[in-house]
Amino acid sequence: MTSAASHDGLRIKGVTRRFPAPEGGIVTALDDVSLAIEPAEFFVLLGPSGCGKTTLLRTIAGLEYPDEGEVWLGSERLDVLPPYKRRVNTVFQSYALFPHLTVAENVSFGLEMEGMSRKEAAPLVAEALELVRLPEHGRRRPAQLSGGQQQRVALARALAKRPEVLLLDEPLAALDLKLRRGMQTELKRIQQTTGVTFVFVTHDQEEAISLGDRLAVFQEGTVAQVGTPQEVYERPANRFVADFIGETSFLTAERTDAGFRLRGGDVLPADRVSGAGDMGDTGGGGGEVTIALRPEHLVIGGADAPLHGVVRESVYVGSDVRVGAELAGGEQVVVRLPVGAAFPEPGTRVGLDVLPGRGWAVAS
Amino acid sequence: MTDPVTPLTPGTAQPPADDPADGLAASAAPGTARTRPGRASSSGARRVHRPAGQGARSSVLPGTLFLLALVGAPLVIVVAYSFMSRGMFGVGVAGPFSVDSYVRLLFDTQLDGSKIFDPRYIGVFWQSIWLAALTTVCCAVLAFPMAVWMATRSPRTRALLVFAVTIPFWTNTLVRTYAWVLILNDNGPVSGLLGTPIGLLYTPFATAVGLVYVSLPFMILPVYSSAEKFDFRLAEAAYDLGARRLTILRRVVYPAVRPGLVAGVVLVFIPSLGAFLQPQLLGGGKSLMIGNLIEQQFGASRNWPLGSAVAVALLVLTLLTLMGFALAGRRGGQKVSLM
Repeated sequence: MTSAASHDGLRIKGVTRRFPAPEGGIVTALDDVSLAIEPAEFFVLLGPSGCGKTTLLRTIAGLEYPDEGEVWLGSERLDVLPPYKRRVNTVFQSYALFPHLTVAENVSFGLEMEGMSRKEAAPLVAEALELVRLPEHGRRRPAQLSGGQQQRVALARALAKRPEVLLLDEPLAALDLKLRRGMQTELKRIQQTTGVTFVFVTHDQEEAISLGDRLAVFQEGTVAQVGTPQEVYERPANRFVADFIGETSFLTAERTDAGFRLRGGDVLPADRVSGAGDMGDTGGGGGEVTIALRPEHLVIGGADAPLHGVVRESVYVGSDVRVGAELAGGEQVVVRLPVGAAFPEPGTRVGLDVLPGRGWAVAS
Repeated sequence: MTDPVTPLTPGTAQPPADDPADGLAASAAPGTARTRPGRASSSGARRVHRPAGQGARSSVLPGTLFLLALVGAPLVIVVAYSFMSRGMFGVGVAGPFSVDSYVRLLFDTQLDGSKIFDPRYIGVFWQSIWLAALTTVCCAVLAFPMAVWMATRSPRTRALLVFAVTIPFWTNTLVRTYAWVLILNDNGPVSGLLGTPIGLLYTPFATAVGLVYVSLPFMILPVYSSAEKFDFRLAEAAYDLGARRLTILRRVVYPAVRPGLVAGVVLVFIPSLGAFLQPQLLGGGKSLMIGNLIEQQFGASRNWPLGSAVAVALLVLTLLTLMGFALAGRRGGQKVSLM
């Protein structure tokens, strides 16, 4: 399959979608969401369940219509078209394979809807099954396949239509961990060989970070942050994003001339924290800031370290050791130690430091 | 029912039906399946050949006795009667073995003893098949959208709707059929609405209306039970793949609902074939059906052997129909089950 990137990208412009809530009232599933997804991009919509990411996916597919806003694919306005007129296809979380059809008939279905005969569609069906590495399974029924194989058939069925955008709704959620890892690699390979734009919904932040060229983090119907995995991980836009992606400890601090004064009285030097310049400007002098700390950006130092705490627990997790410590002000932080480092006993008093510039001030 | 080799076997999973026609289907269908091992026989064969322990054998005994007493014995009596002659004054049966009753179904004996072909009884059979088929088609056309609509409601509404469909069963069929006499007669509400009596009652049309009315729940319920299991996300997937609404109905919804539809067809067609109440009350006895013929022979005409012969002919017709459905089900690769 050759590149399908003939469009100028997918544009979501101010899409709002409201539903009547089961217990009365209105739920705003999407609140003025705007996104620009580029051609041939692997774009991930990430967020906890109920944050609106699946609603956005269904809006692009045409299974939902927005109350406000527009969806454009290149120069074509999508949100006014029925699904069968959109060059967009979906891989459903439940796979939704037709149980009464064979694998090949499932893949052929969408092509026949374009007016092809089954015979005309056959080479394309074979090509699609080849792409997902199931060339021998065409005559089987979906019920005779494993979950991972059904997943591949669903992928082949959607890709056989040669969509410009492929939507994937938590496609790996039902697979076990090992299979999921394998399929992630496979998806990435397929996306790169076909050049189709992938819009991938997941609530698994690890999956999002390892798969996405860029990702959008959803928070209660709005987009909290858009960026590359590295940007989102290292410079989270707010406390929600920092908390949702990766393991994070939060410290509340007061901005002073010397640095950041914590509740317990310790002062973290200003050079340990970045992003704070903006914070200081917006919050005004002496304002409170929240500092997000990743376990790998904290180190256990000597008595001259700026922060002081007591070790509460040390957990060996195979690749490293996680040390939970309580600071003077009662804040809990997690420190990652490389394997082989000294294993601090619970109750030990330790000095703690932050790698220069690695503390990240976020909006609370 | 999950056994793919024995389609149409109401008796294997359900308690023996009290309707002779259904009971016969139960005893006949496993036989047809065993003589013809299907291509999907792997699971079925394993089940049949599983060594049955003592417990298994004794547990089928009550059911077997029940079937023998309530289905087998009456069947033997009916078949035996059909090969005898009329008793004294037409009551009961008498005399030696005779095929006269069967001959009478096809031939008329002239005064000089010669026999010529007589299409009257064949005509009654034909009329019955035609009316039963019409009833079945009307029920299917009405029930399919109804059942699919029901299946798309909320679970609460669905329970209420299923309940509503079963409400007619609270009243005797005879009473409900009389209600149609009141509705359709020349002074009834239909004529009132039209402004002029158009002679609806005592026509084949009235018979068909009565049959459709009585049979409809038997079509709606099995179709609904299939439609309820249908995963409507499949319809979304089809929509996403470029199908329009009618194509989705035809290519995705219909195949899923088909087993229920086939079950409904069996449940409607076979009882309609033997119906006698509706042609009697609504058809005015003018449009005779097989059921009326049997009733007449045992009643007014006092010819029990002929009545038995007609009954046996009806049984054979029923059997052939069931086998036809079983074959069609096998060819379609569908597991057909009743409810």
